[in-house]
Amino acid sequence: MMRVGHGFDAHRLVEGRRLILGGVEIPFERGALGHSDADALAHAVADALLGSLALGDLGSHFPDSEERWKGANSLELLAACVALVRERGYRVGNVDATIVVERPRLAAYTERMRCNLAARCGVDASAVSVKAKSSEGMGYTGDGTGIAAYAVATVEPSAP
Amino acid sequence: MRWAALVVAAGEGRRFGGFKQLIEIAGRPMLAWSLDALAAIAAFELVAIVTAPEVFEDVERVARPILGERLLPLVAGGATRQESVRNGLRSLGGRCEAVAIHDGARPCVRTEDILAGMREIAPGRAALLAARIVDTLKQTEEGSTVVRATLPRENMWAAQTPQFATYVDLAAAHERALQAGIAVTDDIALLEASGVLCAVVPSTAENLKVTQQSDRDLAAAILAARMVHAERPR
Repeated sequence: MMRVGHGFDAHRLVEGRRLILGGVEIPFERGALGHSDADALAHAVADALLGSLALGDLGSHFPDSEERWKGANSLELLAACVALVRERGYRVGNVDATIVVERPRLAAYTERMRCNLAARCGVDASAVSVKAKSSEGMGYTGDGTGIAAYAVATVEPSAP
Repeated sequence: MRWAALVVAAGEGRRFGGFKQLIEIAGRPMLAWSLDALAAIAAFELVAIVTAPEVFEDVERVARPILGERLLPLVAGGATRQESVRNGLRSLGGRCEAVAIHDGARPCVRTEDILAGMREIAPGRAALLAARIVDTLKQTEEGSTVVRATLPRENMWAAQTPQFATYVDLAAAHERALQAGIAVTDDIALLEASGVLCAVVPSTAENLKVTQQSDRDLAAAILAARMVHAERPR
């Protein structure tokens, strides 16, 4: 039976950090604050995959308190989550994600994000969607305090 | 301070068999990469691009979606780089207090390095991105391959762009150079000559200038690596 998972992540935007989304370094005057590389998109997708099989969340598998995840490449954390899904006898079906941020504009980079995520999920890029939205100036994503990402993922049994 | 960015993209690029600023690097026109790095900084209220009139339409098509309202009408380049910068400065008029001048053939510039340069600027104080020279320097005689001397590389820097200064300091330095007939390839040299204090802001060799095919390949590799994040962030 196909299963569905949902993921969410948000990070504060601060000076002196790089902004990484879906493994892509985005030119911006601020970056996302976090223990790892703070890749909100990769984190939301990873959480959606874990959620689809009720495997807890990213923080329970890769705790902030552990030094070895400091500055971690989140694409690798995503790949580790995909491996957990496979161990349970499932494979990734498709992923749909939305990034919410006022600035910077992400249109030039979303294709690369899709390719990066698809490669780590072991699916074709056509099974991964990445959209970028503004929140029309409202709330923490609208005033530039932070960035948020939402993702939905399906998984299906690898051997029917 | 009200900032403007001035991008010099007037080189013909004969070595690339076409207009250099529009050659494709890592899937996009070269110019688009540095415009992205500048556009990411909200402090740049205006952006002027100096280029060849025959490619105005193509440059507009690349730059407008990135810069929107901040893009000023395109400015025609001059016979020399210095003249192109002067045309660009005139197009800015008095509408900004400080300017970052960037070479459109340096697509790998990082936003964080541009911000570091901007922080150095005050009246009478300019700055430029520069990389420490790591190679040992050899000097030869004109027209000869015989080494005459080995130069100390300590405290030697390779100048890059952006170069930053107040609009008034830049405009004065360029006017003075025009009257005195001074020709240089870099704006900081003009500022030094007019008594402005100039500071280097350490950058890396990644901010290379694309002048031949091997540079293009290297720039493509640097930009592609940023598209698949592989290193630990600072």
